[in-house]
Amino acid sequence: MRGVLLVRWVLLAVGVALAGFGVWTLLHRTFDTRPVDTATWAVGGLVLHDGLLAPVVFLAGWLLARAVPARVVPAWARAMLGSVLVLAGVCVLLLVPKWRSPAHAGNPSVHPPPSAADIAVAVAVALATLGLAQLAAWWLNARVRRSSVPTGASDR
Amino acid sequence: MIRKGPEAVGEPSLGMVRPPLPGFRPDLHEPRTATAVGRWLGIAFTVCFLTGLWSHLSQHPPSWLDLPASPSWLYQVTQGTHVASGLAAVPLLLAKLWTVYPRLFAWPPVRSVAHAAERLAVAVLIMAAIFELATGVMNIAQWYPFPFNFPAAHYAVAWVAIGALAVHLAAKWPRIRGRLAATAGEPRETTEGRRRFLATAFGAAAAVTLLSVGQTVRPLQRLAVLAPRRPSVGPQRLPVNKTAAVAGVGRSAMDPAYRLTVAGPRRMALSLAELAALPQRTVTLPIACVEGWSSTQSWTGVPLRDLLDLAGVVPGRTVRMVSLERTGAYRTSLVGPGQARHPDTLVALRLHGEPLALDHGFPARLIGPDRPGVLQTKWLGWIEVA
Repeated sequence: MRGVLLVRWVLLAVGVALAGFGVWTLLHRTFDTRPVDTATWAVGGLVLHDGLLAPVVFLAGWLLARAVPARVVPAWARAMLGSVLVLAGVCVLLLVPKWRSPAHAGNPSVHPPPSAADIAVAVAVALATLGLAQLAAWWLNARVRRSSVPTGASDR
Repeated sequence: MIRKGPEAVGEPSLGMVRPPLPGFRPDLHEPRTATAVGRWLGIAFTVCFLTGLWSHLSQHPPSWLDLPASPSWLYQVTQGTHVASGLAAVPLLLAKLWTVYPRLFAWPPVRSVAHAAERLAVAVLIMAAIFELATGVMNIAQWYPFPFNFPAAHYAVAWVAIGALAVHLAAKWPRIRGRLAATAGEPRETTEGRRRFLATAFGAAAAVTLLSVGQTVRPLQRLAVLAPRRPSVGPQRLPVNKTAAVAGVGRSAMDPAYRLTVAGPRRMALSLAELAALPQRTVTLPIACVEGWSSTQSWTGVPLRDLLDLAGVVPGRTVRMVSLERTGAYRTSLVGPGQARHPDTLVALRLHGEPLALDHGFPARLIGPDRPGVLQTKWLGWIEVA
């Protein structure tokens, strides 16, 4: 138990020191870091996530769960649909900077547009990856179900 | 069970009436789910931090550090890993925030001083994490809608993020150790729902990696639809970061009166023909950009050490390479003693045996082993002892 306590205090001390160095760097090189702008963007990211992105995703999930009821659509299909939508959302987030960036003007090597065939291959690989992940989850569930012997709850 | 613990989701509290805050399905928002995602997210962030720190040192080497010249692919691997781990962390961070989102509505919002401190530390961690991933993704797309300097702010906030992560680990350490509590006794649907959720999170992280890592792993470049570059797309089958037009060097680089000055004890001003008449060496080296793409090519030119010897510069000196560019953060770069004397560090005149394209630094550019791409100075006009 003393070991656990020691680990926690060491982590806390190291963490405060590292974060403190970050804040010092931020305030030390104000010409480049512009601390007020950096802080505004940091708070803005949190507000955008908690106030906009997360509620939208929760609402979409809630609506989807009603549009695709469990008694009609099998669990694996619901899981796969959820995976596809999550990955699609992440891809949109990652592609927004590409769409907004002016860098490709006068430099065709930036953001070279993928061909239709490349997109098709990428979509197939993405679907296969998500499918494999869901298959692994299904396999783990099936294995646990076969060997499950209730032993009662335990916290530790 | 952990779910019924003191920090359980939506737990009714004594003494205070809980306002009508949203309620959540508990199974996807358990501490165990958060820990399962958090472990991999923590690994991704730590790898990202360490490789980022290496990139910072490589770009701004302190005087005590003579950067290695071997292995030549070191920066290519560390920076490719930096960007890949950062991109993989995006779906993992979103999954992690999803699992802990109900905590935002915990009631009462603050139970004690320690609880308030922990919540504040978590808020700092989330802000720093989102900031790092968001600015990083914008930087690889070369999109700068923010007023601060990207490397400076990204570097400073990285320390805040890794520090806040350590504080978070300190707060959650007992739970992390206890995570291996058996699933036995838990309703089966809970376990299955969580496994499907984790499969989505890890599957999305793997897919994002596969769809972007081709910017540095050439066999996968067709798949790299999320990456801003492909290693073989560009003039002479090599991407360009800064074009000659943007750098404003077109006229001076194409000028027949061009000379490369080596400002050693014996000052020399060499024309392109004179450079080409010196003994040439051909090496295979990567251009490894800070934005995560890299491309290994065949370069031909004069070893830098030969030029330094001709100009009477003794070994052990750091030299400064100066571009024909008039302005720009990467107009000059330093080459430490180790890299300056390495036989593969060239003042390159040719790429795949052809004269360099103007956008690749014609008439002469620096190419050396294990250097960030921005320090492979293009359109060389001047070399001096730093």
